[in-house]
Amino acid sequence: MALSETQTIPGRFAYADASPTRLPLADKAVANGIVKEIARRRVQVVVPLFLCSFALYVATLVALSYFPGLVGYKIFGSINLAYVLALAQFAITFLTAFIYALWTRRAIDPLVADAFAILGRAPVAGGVR
Amino acid sequence: MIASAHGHLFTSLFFFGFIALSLGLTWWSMRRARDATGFFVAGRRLTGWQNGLAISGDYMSAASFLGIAGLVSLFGYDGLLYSFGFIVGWVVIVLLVAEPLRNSGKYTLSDVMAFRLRARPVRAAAAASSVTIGLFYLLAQLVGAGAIASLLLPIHPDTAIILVGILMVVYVLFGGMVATTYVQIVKAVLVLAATTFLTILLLNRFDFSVDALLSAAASASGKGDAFLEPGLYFTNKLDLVSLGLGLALGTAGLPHIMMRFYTVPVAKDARASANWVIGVVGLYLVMTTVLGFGATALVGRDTIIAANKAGNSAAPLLALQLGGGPGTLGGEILVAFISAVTFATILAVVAGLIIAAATNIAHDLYTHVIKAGVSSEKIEVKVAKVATIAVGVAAITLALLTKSLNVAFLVGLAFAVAASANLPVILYSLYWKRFNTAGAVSALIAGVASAVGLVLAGPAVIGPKGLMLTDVQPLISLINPGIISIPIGFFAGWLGTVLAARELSSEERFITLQVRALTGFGSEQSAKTH
Repeated sequence: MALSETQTIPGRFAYADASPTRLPLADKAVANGIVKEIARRRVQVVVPLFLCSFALYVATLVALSYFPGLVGYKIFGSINLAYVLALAQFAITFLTAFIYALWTRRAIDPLVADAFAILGRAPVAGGVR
Repeated sequence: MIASAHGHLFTSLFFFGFIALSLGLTWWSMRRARDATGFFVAGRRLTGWQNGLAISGDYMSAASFLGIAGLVSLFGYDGLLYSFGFIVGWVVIVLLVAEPLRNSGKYTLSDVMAFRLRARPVRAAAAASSVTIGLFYLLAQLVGAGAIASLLLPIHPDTAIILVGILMVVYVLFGGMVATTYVQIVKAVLVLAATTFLTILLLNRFDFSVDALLSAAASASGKGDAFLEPGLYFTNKLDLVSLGLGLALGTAGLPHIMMRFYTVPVAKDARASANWVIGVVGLYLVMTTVLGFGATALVGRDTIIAANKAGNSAAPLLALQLGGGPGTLGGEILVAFISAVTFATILAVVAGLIIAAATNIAHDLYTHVIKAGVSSEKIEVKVAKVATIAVGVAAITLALLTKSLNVAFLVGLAFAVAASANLPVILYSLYWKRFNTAGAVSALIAGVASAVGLVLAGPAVIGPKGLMLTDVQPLISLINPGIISIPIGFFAGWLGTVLAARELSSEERFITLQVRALTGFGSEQSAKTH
């Protein structure tokens, strides 16, 4: 469909609302089950992953502020613990994103494809220029 | 000023080269930015890496390019907090926000909230908070543009502010999100290339030994080992923790960054964009951790302070030194290149901020609050264009009036407001079934009010180091409000929700939102599928 220039944007709840109301009851139950499963898996993996990396960050901030003697400890030449902790934040962020990307591809993306197959539309593949 | 007449010629050449390139991109983009999806979100046709680079361009602002190097060169280790604080925010985005946001919204952050809550009050409050954040951020960039211009070019800061402001309005007005995106991509590549080149030249001077570089910086600073440890800049210990929390939690609430996730076709591409940002921006920020120390070691604190009290000239001065020193051709070409890249940085970030603020005004305030959702896309784009001019004029005027404000302070404030007001409402909207309109409005109002209020009562505004009442003691000793205002925002959202009656429509809509956020079913389609 071409975007018509005079197309109205319906208010409040209406736009692009695609609740699968017209699906047969059995299909709807399966789709809902898949969505619940996605939510459950995300809670199991994403929440610990987030809490873990965020806790390490806050611990680093506290160490830098309140334990100057500790972070001033020299590990190699003039490179002290404080500098290593700063670099570690990059490593933790890279690692978290990497683990998440691998895990989602394996555990979530297939479920999303299943849900889509049932809900009656195919997801659009990656952008094409 | 740190460059000679020769240097100005080179700077002008590079600078006008970038302006010509970006205007060319704008002209090329005009056709694709005509309808609403084209103007606001580039038709949702960008690939993951394109959007990732554009977000990186948005995120690597002048505050980081000049600010981090400057702070590190003057205060040592404490400046690095900005380096790693800026990257940690992406954990929140990639894990919790990017994909559900792309699936649930249309043009702005408020779309996710309005999906299940009562649209008018929520959009009005969210637009107020987002425009506030955008304005603080815009002021920081424009004030920075003025300061840098007077440092590197023979033009007055006011001229630079007006010039940058007008150019940005032109990009956004004619090229919308498409032109903004390409300007940001070009700029991201330029900044990354410039930073890499400087880092390699710098490390080469020290035989690629970071240890030798840090030793040289410590001894040149006159502070010895203390220069490599925290404590020289943040004299109040809690301030370091507070700023750190604001930086890490504020990113996911920055409207101009988050609206970029609507420019890709599906959630997978949003995830890919965020991963690209973590890679590109991470690499860039890691390099910023050595450039500041390099400036201390090779240029010296006295020279840096003499050029600019806040240290903003550390990176250009380092480039001058690495290119061969003052008066040499290599030094002047390198400093000219770095100066031009800095301008490009500011131009691209300002363009992103203006389009975000204009979208908030047109989509949230005009279409959904004033017109209660009944409007046409054509009118929405028209309103956005008027808003672009209005925001541009307002930002230029405010920047001319507030030139004396500290750039880092303004950016820190924008992050604090984003973390205290926008983030709680986004997270509650996406993940808490019981959440309701009263909770959202409470969190937005309490978040903005506490963050801004604490800054107004703190040492950045009142007291001997502040802007006014210099003989009065500030009411609180914290410069950065995050550690108090972020919990206030989250608490207000919870309290508002549980005190108000249950909102059944919100809880019902939460189920639909969950289906849509987690699977992308029913989400806004890319223009290329039409």
